[in-house]
Amino acid sequence: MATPSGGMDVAADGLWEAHYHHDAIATRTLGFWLYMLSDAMIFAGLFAAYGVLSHHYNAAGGPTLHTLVQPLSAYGETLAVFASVLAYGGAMVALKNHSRTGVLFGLGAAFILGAVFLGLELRDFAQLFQAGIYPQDSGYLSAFFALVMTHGLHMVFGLLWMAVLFVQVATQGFTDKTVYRLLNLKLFWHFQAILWVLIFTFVDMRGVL
Amino acid sequence: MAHDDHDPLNHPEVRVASGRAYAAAFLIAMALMTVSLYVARHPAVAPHPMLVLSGVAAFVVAVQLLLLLKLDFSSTQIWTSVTFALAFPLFVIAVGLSLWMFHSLDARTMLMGLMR
Repeated sequence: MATPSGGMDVAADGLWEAHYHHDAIATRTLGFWLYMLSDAMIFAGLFAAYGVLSHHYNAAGGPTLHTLVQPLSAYGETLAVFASVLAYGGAMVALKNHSRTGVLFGLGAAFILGAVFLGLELRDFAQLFQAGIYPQDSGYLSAFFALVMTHGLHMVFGLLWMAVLFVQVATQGFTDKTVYRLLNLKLFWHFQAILWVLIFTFVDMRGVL
Repeated sequence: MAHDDHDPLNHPEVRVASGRAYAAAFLIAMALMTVSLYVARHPAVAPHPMLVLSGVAAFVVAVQLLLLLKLDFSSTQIWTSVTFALAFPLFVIAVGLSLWMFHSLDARTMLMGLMR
């Protein structure tokens, strides 16, 4: 790394280090944020595929979302995601206030609400499968299931991460490591809410129309 | 960075948390998604329902970026905002150009027309 004195003046470099030491938390969160932005490109591909393949030609004579979508179920999933994000926000406020109990409570609530979302989504999938509607039936259904299930998979990994962090915060408290992990999971979890807005609007509500 | 006592909770990215902003984001997003649900089920209320739904979604995403992810020009968040501004066009171009290309293909090929 370049030093302010170009490595010529050891004393000046020491002074620089003492006052502007390496900010590990900011480095980690920016790095993770760059990952989130590239992760969004996976969804760009899936949204593009869904947009193209949602032409009735690609349904191959099979069902389209207009006949499948359950608007109230999708709305319930929206409520669960947003409430989970709000609960995680509560954990972030508790973190700011040095409350370990508050963080654990917020994480726990966010986990339960995230699990409710997944439960509702799995119930929707189960109903589709029971009706004999599978991803392999048409290009349209493949694109639909790929998009929605990729988001669901992100939610699963978010919940796993939350469970691990719950244990780490409970046992280790607030160290540099647990704090940057909490901040990274905040980025991840809040990003899922943004993606869900797009899925709710351009898949579910567009299907209702 | 002025957190020389090495307490990670004094980090500016921890201090940026705001219960009021998170609650506002939840209420605004939930209210507008309710509007979307209503418009989708009663499309007659708007002349171009899909346009209304797209506008509402764009607004909710903007609210979430500002209130949840705190994208702003403060020294803590500036790089989060800049990287987002640079990545956002990629997302729009990837989705937008795909839809445009296939839409024009659909309009110009006979196969699609015969299927109608």
